[in-house]
Amino acid sequence: MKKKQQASSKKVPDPEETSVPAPLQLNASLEANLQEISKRIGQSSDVVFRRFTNESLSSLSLAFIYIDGLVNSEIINRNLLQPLMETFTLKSDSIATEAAFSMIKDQMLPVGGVKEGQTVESLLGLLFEGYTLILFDGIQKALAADTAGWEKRSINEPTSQGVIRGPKEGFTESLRTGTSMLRRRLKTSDLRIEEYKIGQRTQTGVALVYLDGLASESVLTEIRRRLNSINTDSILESNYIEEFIQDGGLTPFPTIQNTERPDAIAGGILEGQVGIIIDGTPFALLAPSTFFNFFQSSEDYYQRYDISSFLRLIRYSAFFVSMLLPALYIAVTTFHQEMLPTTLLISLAAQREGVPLPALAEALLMELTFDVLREAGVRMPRTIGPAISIVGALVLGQAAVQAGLVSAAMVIVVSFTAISNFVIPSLAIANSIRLIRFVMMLVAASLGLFGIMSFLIVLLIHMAGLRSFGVPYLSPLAPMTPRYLKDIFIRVPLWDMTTRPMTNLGKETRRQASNQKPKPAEDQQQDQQGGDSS
Amino acid sequence: MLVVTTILPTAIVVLPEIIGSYAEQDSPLAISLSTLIGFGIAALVGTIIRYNNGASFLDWIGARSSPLLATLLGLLLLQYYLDTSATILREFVNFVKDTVLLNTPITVMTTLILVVTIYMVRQGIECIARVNSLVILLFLFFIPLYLFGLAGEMNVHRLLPIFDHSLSTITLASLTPTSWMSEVAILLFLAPYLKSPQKARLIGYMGLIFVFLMMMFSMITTMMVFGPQYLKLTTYPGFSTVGIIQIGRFVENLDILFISYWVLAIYLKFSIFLFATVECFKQTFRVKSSRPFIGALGLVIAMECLFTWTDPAKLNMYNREGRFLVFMVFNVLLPLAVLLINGRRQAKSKRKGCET
Repeated sequence: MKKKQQASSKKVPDPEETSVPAPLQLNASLEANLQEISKRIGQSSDVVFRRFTNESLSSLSLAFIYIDGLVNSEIINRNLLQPLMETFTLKSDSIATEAAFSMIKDQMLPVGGVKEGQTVESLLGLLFEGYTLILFDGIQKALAADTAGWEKRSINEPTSQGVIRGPKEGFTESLRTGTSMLRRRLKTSDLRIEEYKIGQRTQTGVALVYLDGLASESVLTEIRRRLNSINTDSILESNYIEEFIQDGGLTPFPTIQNTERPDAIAGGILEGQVGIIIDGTPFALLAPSTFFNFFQSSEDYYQRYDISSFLRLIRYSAFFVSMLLPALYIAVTTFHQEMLPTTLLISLAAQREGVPLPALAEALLMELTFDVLREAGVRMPRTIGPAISIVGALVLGQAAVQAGLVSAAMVIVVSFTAISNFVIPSLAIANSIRLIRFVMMLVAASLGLFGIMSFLIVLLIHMAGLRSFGVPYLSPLAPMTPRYLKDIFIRVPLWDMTTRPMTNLGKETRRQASNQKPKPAEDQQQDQQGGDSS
Repeated sequence: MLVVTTILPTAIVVLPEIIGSYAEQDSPLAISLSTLIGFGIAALVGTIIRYNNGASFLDWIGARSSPLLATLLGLLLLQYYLDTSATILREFVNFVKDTVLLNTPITVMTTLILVVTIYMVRQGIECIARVNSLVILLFLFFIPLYLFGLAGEMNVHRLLPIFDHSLSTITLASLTPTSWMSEVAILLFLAPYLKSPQKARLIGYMGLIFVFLMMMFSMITTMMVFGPQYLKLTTYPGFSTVGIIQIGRFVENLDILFISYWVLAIYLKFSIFLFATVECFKQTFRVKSSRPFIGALGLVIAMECLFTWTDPAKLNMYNREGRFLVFMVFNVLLPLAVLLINGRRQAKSKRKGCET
């Protein structure tokens, strides 16, 4: 009993709930408000408090608060301080503080956005977004003028989804830049941008972007519900949002696309998907997304349909190669040697003669080595990048073969697998395959092709059961909808893509007129004459 | 297409040897006859589903007659589906052990197959149907490969002479495939999940036609390559045929590739039967959710598989001689009896209506 009591007294306390305090109404006293704000934000050196009085404005006492680095100083000096200090003078002493407040708000601040705030929390929120607070002595409200002007990265080419032909703009970390890039592409009044603030401490701006009338109402309702139910400290990147709102929490397959390209977001929105742009990251999200969306690239629509179709087939082949090639190699060399032609079998047997490791160990060693090299390549300084390439290619590849640690065939298999992995346009799916490949190798080493088929059927069933905001993950292949297969394994000519895919849950819409196939001029005239006579 | 996967995977493995041992080069006639009988069974099953409008089979029987009768029938059907699932599992395991994994213990294979199938059934019939449609699509790859690889080996003269066997021999040869075709009665438990239950008869017909075509294709090509006598001499003649496919000098011994495809199909068949078993259990005992019982029923099937059918010869004899009676009772006579009882009750109620 004593031991139990001792054990219970040593129990680890539950983590403390850190909740956001309830909103505090502003005080009528300017001093009290300044003290409260100072207490909340501490003695930060970048927070500027600027006080002054203007005798002509009924001895009104004011204070400006802004954060150096987030604001455009020129706007503050020219559009806020100057009008109040020099330009406007009032001769009458009888103006009440309330009237002065309204006059300043409506007439004396040549700034685009001016907001009122009555609580300390709302004003602090605006302060951290680059607004300049104007506090008054004698009233329980304050003004916040939009003076945002921090340093922003310029628009560059996307780092991860480059194209040869097509736009070379990518999103930046600024939410407003992102929405403006979409506005430039979708010059329609149907474009809707709904903004949310998510993250108790980061108050990250998140914009839901869609076309009214195209996006499914049920999908929108579900996305809004999931965004509103996120209760977390911080949102620093789009993956935070993605992991909170995605379907199937434990699946290795992504159900939401992410992209740096505004044209990809615009293309998705035009097909009925919903875009989510997050402040602070250039990677935006697109939902709902089926399995086949991850094999589509923006460039498919910027090149001719024949080459695009060919490249799509290459991508799907690369998917299977990337997932199955090492496992098939292990299965065939370990269990099913009879499948190989005799000459190839003899060659492989000769290569593996001096290798001390079984095929599985060889494959795992090479795959892990390649993954280590790949991760090192992402993080190393560019000046020593080529040196690592030489190390990887020569030392780990050729030297390992010459030392007899691995066979040459295994190096070829691993290299081809890795290259196939890079062919897949979506990094999310490519990363899923990297993980699945290891399980496939283990299964192949245990049970050969039977094990591979067993695991494949498990994967298929898993994918068949997944949904992305209600849309079946394997649609339009399963459930089969033949008329939506035009843009899946191949890409038919643009003039033949008259309807939008059914990613918006049953709302099929026509996106262009039919019968737009290019014809020679004389054929068009004949058609016209035939139309006129009828 | 679920009907196709319900019948074809084991039919294509087990039936050629059985049919060939009786009918030899007249095996296609035996398959044709069994398919015609299968159409009759599909019509019977489709009629019942049309009457109950896609409702749960045992619940409908309970409503039309009595809950006690429904429970008794449910117990009998549950026993039937447990036994059938166990034989399917055993055929699967035997085939894999004979052709692929010669040294792996049967218990390991049984456990693995069961775990995978339980996962499939837990995902639901919708997922099984979607994966089934994908697997059926793969036919488009394997059939041309099969034909292209064997084109040089086929000799149409090996199919002659036709009508060399008596009608009684052909009828005898068609008994076992008829019992396979009677598996179309699984529609009785799939009906509540069909999009259009009123079209159950058509679904049955289409499935049987596809099975017929594939069985004919398999038997005819095997006989054209090896001749009718070979059917009697080997356990798995279809897979022996694919083993000789050779394309050029670098693609050969592709039987393992076809076996791998067959493994996908047999997983689906076993999952459909396990699903039907679970449905039967759910309807018999009127449980709200069947998910907690899937594992338990799977365990019972595994035990029966491991301990009842330890001797492959016994299973072969059951397939050849015992299966017909069991399948006819549960897939034909039972639904026929239900239909007759329903018909009598309808006639009675009509007469009562006229009298009032």
